Amino acid sequence: MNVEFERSGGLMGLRLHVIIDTGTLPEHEALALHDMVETARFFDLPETLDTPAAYPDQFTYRLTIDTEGYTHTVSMTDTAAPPELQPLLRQLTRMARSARDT
Amino acid sequence: MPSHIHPLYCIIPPHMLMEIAERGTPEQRDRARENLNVSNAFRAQRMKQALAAARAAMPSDGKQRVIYDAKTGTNLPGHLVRIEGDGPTHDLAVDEAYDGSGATYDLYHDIYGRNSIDDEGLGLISTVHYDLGYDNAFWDGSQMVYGDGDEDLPEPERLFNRFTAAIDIIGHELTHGVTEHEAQLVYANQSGALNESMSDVFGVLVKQRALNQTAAAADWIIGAGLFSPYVNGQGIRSMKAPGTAYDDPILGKDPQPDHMNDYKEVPYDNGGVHINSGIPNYAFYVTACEIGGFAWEKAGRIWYVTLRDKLHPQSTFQNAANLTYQAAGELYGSGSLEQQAVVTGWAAVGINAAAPSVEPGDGCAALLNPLLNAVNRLFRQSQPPAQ
Ligand SMILES: [Zn+2]
Ligand SMILES: [Zn+2]
Repeated sequence: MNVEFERSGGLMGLRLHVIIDTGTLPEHEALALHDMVETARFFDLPETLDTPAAYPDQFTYRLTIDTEGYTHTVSMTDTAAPPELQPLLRQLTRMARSARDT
Repeated sequence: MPSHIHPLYCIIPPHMLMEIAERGTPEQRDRARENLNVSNAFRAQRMKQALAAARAAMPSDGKQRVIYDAKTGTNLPGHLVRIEGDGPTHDLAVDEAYDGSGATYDLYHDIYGRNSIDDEGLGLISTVHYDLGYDNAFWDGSQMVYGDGDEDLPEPERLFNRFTAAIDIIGHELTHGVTEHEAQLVYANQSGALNESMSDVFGVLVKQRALNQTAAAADWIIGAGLFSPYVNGQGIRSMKAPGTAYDDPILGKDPQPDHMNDYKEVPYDNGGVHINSGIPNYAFYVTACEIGGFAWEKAGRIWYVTLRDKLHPQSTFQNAANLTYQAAGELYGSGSLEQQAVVTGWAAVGINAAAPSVEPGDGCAALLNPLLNAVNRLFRQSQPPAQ
């Protein structure tokens, strides 16, 4: 599974970006990510999840997951992200921080 | 104004929750059931809240603060924990949100004669303890929302403290509400960076006034106290020296420019609204230092009148320079020291504030905007109070 994650905006305006190939992760971390993607039912989410207005200082996420021949991208503001997706977003934020590339 | 949305109830259709409640993992099932059950508990809570909201929405010439606790969830506004006149709760975030929104109300009221966000005594609503591991704060169109930072991570991985820890951040969020009621600066590109800058300007003025600091004595740091001791930085932005607030192995270097030559066109952050705000921020800082004394008195007034009466949704940095120049002339006289300070401030970032306005519609907008604002105000008065 390949994951591309971008978080931008927020009060600080900090951009985080990371690309993860779960094949290169320790097995327990890879499994945890797979679980979070399933729990979030990521592939059933629409491509855009937006709050009705552009709220100042919110985060914007863009997440692309590529697995077993399926690719799906979801762009969303953070208050529009369903609660089931929050743990995955948090974990990817954490990974993007420790692998900061920009 | 449309009433705000509870993300959970609107985004996850109940049928999906039911499905999770039936077929999810034990954890998911608990969560889903909890969410379904919340509707009942929610009704009682909502009645309590409606009372507080009605009280807060009553036009009055006084502060009407209401603080909610989201208890690490994402439902807004959450549980009511403190209303105007209540004593301290000894929950730091609750009390900081209460005190900080009070100090912000006082700056606008005592110095600029403004009665709250809408100038009609609208209640100041804050939610603290929003979400788990939420290193942010935002304005949702009707209230302020604050996370607790990285409280969910192991100690050495923590970069952020709770977001109520900096009083200027509270002033920043509330000012987004003021801007929404006045200039309505579109939250993208230059108008978005101006929107951000206005929030930093009045946020920092709330802090300087609370500390009774002159422009020369103040540090002009936005968000001092937000970083954990593991971060190499003073705060999230510096108005005095944009681009120097932090330089950290994990967060990287503060990307803010302090001059038009370094304006950054970026495909994220709504065109870099939190990046390019460094340019008008620095123009304000230089103007305030040129004038001297307390920044909120003259420089703040020039910026406030510009935000209230002159800027329009599509305003550019050049427009803002021209309009602050105009406001300074009206307030302190043409050719006054204050007006010259405005010219010096914008010149420092590469903009000629005294230049004739380049935008053809600008002269019209300057005439039209106060009229439109007055019409909007009348229109709002004829509406039932927003919830
Ligand atoms: Zn902001
Ligand atoms: Zn509500």
